[in-house]
Formats: sequence, structure tokens, C-alpha cells
Amino acid sequence: MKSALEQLGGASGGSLPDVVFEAPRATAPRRVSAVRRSASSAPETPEEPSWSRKVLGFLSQLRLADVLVGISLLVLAFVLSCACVPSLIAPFLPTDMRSDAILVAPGAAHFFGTDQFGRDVFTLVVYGARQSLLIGVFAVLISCGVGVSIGLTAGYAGGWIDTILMRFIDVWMAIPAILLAIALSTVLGPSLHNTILAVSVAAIPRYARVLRGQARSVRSRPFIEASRAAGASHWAILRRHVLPHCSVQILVMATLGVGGSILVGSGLSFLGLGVNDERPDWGYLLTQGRSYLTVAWWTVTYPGLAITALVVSVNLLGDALRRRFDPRSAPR
Amino acid sequence: MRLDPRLGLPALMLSLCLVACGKHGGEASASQSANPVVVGKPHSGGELVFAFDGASLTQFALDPHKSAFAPHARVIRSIFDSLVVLLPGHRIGPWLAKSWEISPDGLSYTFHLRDDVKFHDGTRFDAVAVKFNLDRIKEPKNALYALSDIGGYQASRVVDDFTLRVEFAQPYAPFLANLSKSSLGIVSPAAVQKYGDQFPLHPVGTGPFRFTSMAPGTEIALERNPDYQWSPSGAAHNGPAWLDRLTFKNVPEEATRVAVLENGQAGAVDLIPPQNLVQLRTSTKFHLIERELLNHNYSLYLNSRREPWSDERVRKAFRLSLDVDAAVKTIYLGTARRAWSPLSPSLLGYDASLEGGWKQDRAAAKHALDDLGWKPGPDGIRVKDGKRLTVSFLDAQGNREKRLDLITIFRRQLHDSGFDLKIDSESLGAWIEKTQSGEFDLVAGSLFAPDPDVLQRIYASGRPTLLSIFKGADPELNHLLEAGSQALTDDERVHLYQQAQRLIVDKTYSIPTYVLIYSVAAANRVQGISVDAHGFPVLSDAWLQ
Repeated sequence: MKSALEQLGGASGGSLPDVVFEAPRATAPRRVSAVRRSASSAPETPEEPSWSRKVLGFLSQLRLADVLVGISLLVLAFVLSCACVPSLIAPFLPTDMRSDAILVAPGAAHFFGTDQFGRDVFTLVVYGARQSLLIGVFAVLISCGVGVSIGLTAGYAGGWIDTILMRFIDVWMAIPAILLAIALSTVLGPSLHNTILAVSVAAIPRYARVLRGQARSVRSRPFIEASRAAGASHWAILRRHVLPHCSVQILVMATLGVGGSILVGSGLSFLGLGVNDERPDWGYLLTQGRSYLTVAWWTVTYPGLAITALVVSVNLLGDALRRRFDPRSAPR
Repeated sequence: MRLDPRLGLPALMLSLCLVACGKHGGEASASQSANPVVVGKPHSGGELVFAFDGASLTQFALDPHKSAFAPHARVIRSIFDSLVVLLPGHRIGPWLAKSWEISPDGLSYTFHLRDDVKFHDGTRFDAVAVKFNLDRIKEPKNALYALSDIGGYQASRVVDDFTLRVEFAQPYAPFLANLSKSSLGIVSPAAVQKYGDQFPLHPVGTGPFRFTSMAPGTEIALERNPDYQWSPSGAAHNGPAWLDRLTFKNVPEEATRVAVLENGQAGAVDLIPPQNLVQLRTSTKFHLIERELLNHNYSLYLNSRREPWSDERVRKAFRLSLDVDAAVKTIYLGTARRAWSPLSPSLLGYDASLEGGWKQDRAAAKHALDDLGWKPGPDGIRVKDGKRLTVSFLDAQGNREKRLDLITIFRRQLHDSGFDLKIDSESLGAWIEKTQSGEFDLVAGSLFAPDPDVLQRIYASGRPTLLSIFKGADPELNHLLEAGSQALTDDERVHLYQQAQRLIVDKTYSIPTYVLIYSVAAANRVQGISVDAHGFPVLSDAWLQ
């Protein structure tokens, strides 16, 4: 990946990093879709195609990846609206406990059934979206921010700063991320802030590692030397040249990281280190429903599916971003 | 307040018991279920694996005098015998003591002991051994939980090898009932001297099974005591246990316990979660034994030493906000009965007139709080002089026995009246310290006991013990409870304890929630398991088809 970007960066003259990111998008996918279009239009009759044929024609041009990205975007949009305006989507309140409707199987009144408190599972899943998304997004923002800073500093500065920072990161990485997160939230105590903090601290080293490698390769380019010769400060070089050259990696890693963070966050909740709130998050719903699995599968299945759907969607989007921006994974 | 370190283990065991001893479920009254069971003739042989809910503890403490933790007492019952046995209907039957006389003033008990009993280590059971046991418990520096079972015990006199006279400073009516508890099981004096502090890891008694080995926190292996000929009165058979080996496995996760029963890894499991009870009751492959645990019901205690709970009207408003019926029905799926008295219904002196004595009345609760100056704030939580009506619930056990689920429902109900209940989850050590120093608004717990004297341990304010989680001081209640422990006839005692129960409920000193039913489910190839009058499993009569 590094070498390809370097070549492109070199080819485009270095001082205009934007071009680097435009190039693969502009060329590679267009070529492929052009080939496909010609292939699919070959058997068509010259007369005006009917409406259904138009739709079919359109569908036949779609690639599986595009469809998946579309679905992922839909899922994400739905989860996002659940997180923002749950009361418009959920048929009940998450605090409604109906002692006359305990462990009711999924049906017309309750799509996803009810749990052991007589709460509507669909409502709980809708209201739980906010916490899961908050954990996913904020954990990534924090870990990305800190990780990128460490990585850039180490990679750009080099020398003993690099050595010290990276050995520190090595030690950090030696502790399994989930273990670190569990230990931290045990010490800090269960709360949303602490869960976010624990998840992000555990994810920092990955960002630092990748960014350091990227920063090192950028540092050795001629245009950095040129800027330095022109009297630009380290801060300005980092901000104007090094950081933009790493933005693709950051974007892709961050997107993929959201999925991972949601998973770790749900795991913590499942272990009882999450928040025992009146609006339980998905991981906590799994814990609460776990012992009812043999008699009421719906209490855990739907929250579980919600986690799966969100994480898979975010990961698919991350993959799509990577395909788009990483020249090495462009369609051949 | 700092705790004496020597009190550490008993305190831990004790509070575990307070917050965790037993479970719910089952029908309202004591009953053995009548599933279709293939019955044959009992014969000896085989090994039974009994999976029990022993919480996530890393160590077992199998010293009967030390452990107040019900799951450990369940194991202890198979290793240790008692002087007397509790029979249904508050009757006491002979066991290691053949007979006894009580002096008319209630101050001295003369026990005539069996002369054919041996401890597992081969030493003889006699009057000297019993004296050793009682004196061991009495010694304050041993800090044994069983100290609270012997009341005003003063001394024992060995009359002859097998006759012992036990003397009291004041009459202590619960003594015989307490003697039947596993906590007054008879330990081998030789083994206590040999192992010292390590005795809980090397238990030696006279019971139907003797200890062979343990894996800390996970497994306890026992084998048949071939010399056993001293079964308690009322036992299904006299003589050695049928089983060659008995293994207790700690499986704290309720769904896993049901799973190990279903896949055959365990022959019997205890404390069946309500969602599986119904299914097991009608099963043709398993049978179910259910019995009410003699118990101080799991109750909520508002800290009446702290504002605003010192005001009875606030406590009443708190209680009027609760719909205990709906909560118990929801959480225990109709398998547990709702409690009205602090005492479980099968205990001596239970006051049935308390049943249906009050019901949820949110309007009255709101009205009372309005009158007291607690006005609803912007988020619905009431405020007075800038202080929110927050109730901090001190908890150390998590959702064992679905008790936190119960609190979750109460929290919702309380929220509707303007209380803000917050759950303060603490480690056990912190829990003990905070309950001792009174740093909480609300705590909850239960305590198993065969006698209504359990009330004195919790509510008496004169002699605070680790069990006194009730923080108020009511001279009238103190008097009733003391008189109850000293009265010489059952009628008199029942009368006093009924007054005490009414006082506790009337003044809202505690809010009882549900009646614990202990349950054991066994595969049909395992026969003969029963649950004794206390609500503890009896495995000496168990046999395999």
C-alpha cells in the first residue's frame, strides 16, 4: 500500500496530495463499469426498452458490492434514526413494564416479543441503538485522535522519540485489547463514559502503529524537504503535508474501528461492566436475556442481530472506502 | 467503621447469606412434586453429581460453625450431623442425642447421647466432644457465626461419658430448634485441634458422607461413611448412605445448571430458575422437589437512622409506591408467592393476618410526599430544600436469584411517585463496611433460620451484630423480641412474635418481598432425594436406578 501511494504521490508532484486520492477513483472504477455496460447492453433490442426492462437493466449493472453498500447505508440510516428519534420509531416506551405480557412470543402486538420484565423487545432494541452508536463513534474519535497524534509524532520525529513512543506502544499492544478494556472498566466502574474510555484506550495502539509507518514514508519525500527548506515549521508540515497524506488510512481504519468498538462495548455490557440503565444497550439486553434463551429465544436473538447488522454494515462501508481509496485493492 | 480482621471470614459468609441465601420458585407451600417417577428398590452403589448454586466464590469453607452461607451449609449437611433434627410442624426429633430433659426454669438442658457414634477420623463421639463444640462456639475470639445460635449459653457439664448438661444464664427458647441447624453440626475435636485454621478445608464430622477432596471454588468430593448407623428420626432409611460417592459441583450460572442436568453431566441440580421450573414440573425425564426455606424473607430495609427515612410517613409513602404483587409475579413468573410478613409462612409464629394488609396506592403516596414538602421537580423526581428524593440502594450480589431484576421493577414503580432509586454496586467488603456504618438509604437481604428468633438478630438494637442491618431503635420491638426468646411455651412465643411482626410491618421497618422456595431437580435415574424441614437437601437416602 505504502509503495503504491508513494509512487502516485511522486507522480502527482507531491505538493498536491488531493490528486492522489482522486486518481484511482477517477480511473479504475469507470473503466470497469464501462466494460460491464457494454456487455449488458449487447443482447438488448434496439427498440425503446419497457419500464421493467429498464429496472432489470439497471439491476443487472449493479455489482454485489454496490448492493451491499446500499443495504449497509440503509441499515446505518435506520440505526441512526433510532438513535436520534427513538420515540418516533418505537411503538412503546422502554420503561413500560407490563406484568400481563411477560415473555410473549413475537407477534402482531410485539414484533420482537417481550422480555422477562414485560417490556417490548423491539422498543428496547430501538432505544438501545443510541448507546451502541455513541460508544462506537466516540471510542473511535478518542482512540483515533490519540493514536494518530502518537503515530504521527513518532513517525515524523524519528530518532529517540520514535523509539520511546513505539516501544511504549509495543508494550501496550501486547495486552489483548478486550482484556485491557475489561480491566479498565472494572477499575473505573460501570458508566457510559467509562465504557467509551475503556474501549478507546484499548484501540489506541493500532492507530499509532499504522500512522507511524505512514508518517515515516511521507517524511522521506522530497516535498517535505522542500517545505522544510522553505522555512515551514514542523507543526505546519505535519498539518499541511503529513496528515493529509495519511487521511485515507485514518478514514478507513476509523470506519472499521467503529464496528470493533461497538463489539467491544457490547462485550463489556454483556459482562456486566456496562450501564444498568432504564434504557439498556444491546450488550446488556443480551446479558439480561441470556438465562431465558431456552424458553424465550427472542429476548437475545434480536439484540444480537441488531449488533451483527450494525457491525457488518459499518465494516462493509469501511471495506468499500478502502477499495475506493486504496490503489492496490482497485478492481483489476 | 473498621472491622476486626478476625471477623473477616464470618462477616463475609454472613453477609453473603444475608444477601444470597437461597432462591425463589415453586409452589406456595412446602411440597414435593408428583412427577411421574419410576420407583424401584433402593440399593447401594454409584456416584451422584449434584450441581449447586454456590456463587462465584473462589474458596469453600466447610466449617459448620463458621459458614452462614446457605450453599455451603447445603454441603455441610451431608458431612455433619446435629444433636437433634427438626421435623415438619416445629417438632424436634432425636438424632445424635437420644433424648433430653429441660429444667422447668428453662436454664438447663440434659442430653442423653448415642453411644455408638464415631467421627470420620475414628475418634469417639461423646459428651466431651459436644462440650468442646459448644465451648468452641462460645469463645468470642473464635468469631464463629454459630455464636448467634446459642443465645445465653454459659457452660456444659459432662455428667458421664454420654450425658451432658448444658446451662444458660437466661432462658433461650430457640435453642433446640437452633441445635437442629447445620450451623450447630458437631465437628470432631481431634480434627479441629489437628487442622486449626485449616479445618474448613478438612471437614471431619459424623455425617453419612465423609470428605475426600475439594477443588477450590469448583468441586467437593465426598464418599460414603460405611459405619453410619445413626440416621435422624424421620429419615427414609437407617444405615450407610446408598451412594458410593457424592460430588458437589459449583455451577453458579442458572441456565448452565439446567443445561448440565439436561445433558446428564449432573444427576441433580438445585435452585431451578423460574423460567425452567414450569417445564421441569411437567417433564417425564426429570422430577422436582420443592420446599419453602425456613427464612427471614428477602426484605427491603430503609435506613431509619438517616433523613428522610427516619420519618415513618416517608417510609410509608415509599411502600405505597410499590406494587410487590406485580413485581414478584413478573420476575418469578408466578412460581413464587408474595411475602407479607418478615417471616416465611412455615416458621413458628407466622402471622397470617398480615396477608393482604396493604396495597399499592400511588395517589396516597404522592399526597403524603406533597404534604411533607417533597414537590415534583422538572424531571419528575421530588425535591425538598434543594435536595432530591434519591434512594441509594446498596448492593453487593448483583442479579443472584433475580433480586436485582426485582429492584429494577421497584425502581420503575418508585420513579412514578417521584423517588429516584440508584443502585450502588459495591464489593462485599465495602458492602459490609457501609451496612455497619449506616452509609446507605436502602439495603435488602434474607436470612435462613428455623426459629422466629431470627427477628432479634436483625431488628434488636441493644446488641448490634453483623446481622443487624436494621438501623432503627424501637424499645417496644426490642422488648417483644427479647421476651420471645425467653418465653417458655410456644403459645406465649407465638403471641409475642405475632405482635413483633405486626409492629415491623406497621412501622414499615422492612418491606418483605417474596417467599423463597428451595428446589432440586433430578434425573429420574436418581431417586430418594428429599429436602428437610429447614429447606436443605438430604442426600443420604438418594440412590441410583
